Amino acid sequence: MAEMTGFLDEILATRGGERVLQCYQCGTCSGSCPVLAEMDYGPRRIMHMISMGQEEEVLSSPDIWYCVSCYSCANRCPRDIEVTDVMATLRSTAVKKGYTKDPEAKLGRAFANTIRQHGRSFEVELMIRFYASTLDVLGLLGMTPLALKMLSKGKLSFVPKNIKDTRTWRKVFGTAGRREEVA
Amino acid sequence: VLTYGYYPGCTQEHGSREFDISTRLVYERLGIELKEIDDWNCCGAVHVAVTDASLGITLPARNLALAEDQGLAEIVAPCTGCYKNLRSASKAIGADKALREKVNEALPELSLESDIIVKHPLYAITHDYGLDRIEVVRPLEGLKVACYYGCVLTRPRDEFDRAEKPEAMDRLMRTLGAEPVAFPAKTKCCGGAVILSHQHVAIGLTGKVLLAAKNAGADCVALACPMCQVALDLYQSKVDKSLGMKLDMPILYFTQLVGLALGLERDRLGFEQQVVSPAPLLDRLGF
Repeated sequence: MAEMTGFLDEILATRGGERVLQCYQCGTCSGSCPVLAEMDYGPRRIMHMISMGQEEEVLSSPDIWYCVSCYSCANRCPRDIEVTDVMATLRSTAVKKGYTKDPEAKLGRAFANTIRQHGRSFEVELMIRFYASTLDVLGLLGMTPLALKMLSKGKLSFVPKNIKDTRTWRKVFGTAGRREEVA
Repeated sequence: VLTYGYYPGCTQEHGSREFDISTRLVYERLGIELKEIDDWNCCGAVHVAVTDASLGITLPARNLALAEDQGLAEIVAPCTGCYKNLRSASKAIGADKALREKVNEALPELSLESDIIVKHPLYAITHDYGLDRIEVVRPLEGLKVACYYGCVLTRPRDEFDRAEKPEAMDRLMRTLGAEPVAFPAKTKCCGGAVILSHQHVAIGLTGKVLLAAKNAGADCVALACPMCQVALDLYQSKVDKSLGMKLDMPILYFTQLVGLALGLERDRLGFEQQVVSPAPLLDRLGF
């Protein structure tokens, strides 16, 4: 794991993360965030914590997983910081470093493995992979009425639509998502 | 004749087939040609990049490279999530030589040399085709519609519309004879990105959007995103429960409404696929 100061440099080196130090803590991002009420810190404090190199607090915070990627913050940021993209970077960094408690991290892996397999999304397989990884039986039961509605509307297919060029596709995909177990 | 490459996106094959069907029919009726990108792949949505940040660029880039290879310099993508990913990737690669090299290394037997222009079908109609050229056969008279843009149709901000108060869909609906209502939630997020992992969050955000549409006196919501459609339509019964009221708000793709106004038959436009039935509304309007 990187040291305290290493974390800031790591984020500064990412696409979209370059301008984190330009933040003057105005709070426009947190004021624009539709899920602020769910968060421990909110995007304004997350930006500050990055600049202070607080790797563990940032990467283990639930905030990064509640972000809905709506770009309200980035669109309004007077310092042109790509706050939404930084949140995405924090999620992938958290996964890479083993902070993967949140179900959204498991969904990301389930999604990646489904896409690796078919090249395109396949909802039924995605659901099976996701609920198998969360072991959330109540969640699965809660989804059943919706799944039945989708079925009755012809919106759920049990046959995947694969891309044709599967040979080079696996190379494009690399090793992402492969690890099935969760740290 | 206007021609675009067409990137349907995964949801258009199953969950939002009515968006795909109505988009193709409307474009055909307008005389705009769509050429589907052969062997397109998933754009990655918001989820794939969680496992590997670079895939957020390489997955969309493969589609851009395929488009280039197939001679399609401009493409349209109806799902706003795909639209955002493809558009952002094209712009990022266009602005960064090193990134282009990296992307091309990651794409076996393909390379992306040009900057593919990525448009949303809504803006291709309003900006390239032109509202004044639309021949309305059956005006949508008496229809009060809440035009819902959601998040990434207009964000990150671009040249097509205002991110905070977009208007293109409202203008289009007015052209069709409908009455767009004043809808303060038009750019608020439905929370669709976390609807599986944090359902209560999405239900809460979607509830605010639907309630705003109801309070604005809308007969229906028009939108341009399969993720928003799932949240507002499929999950509406759960929103009803959380709000303690029956909203009964039909959620339609804007292309379905354009189709009606262009004189396409109601039963060709996939209205039976919507969970909250728009049938009573369409009956009342005489379609």
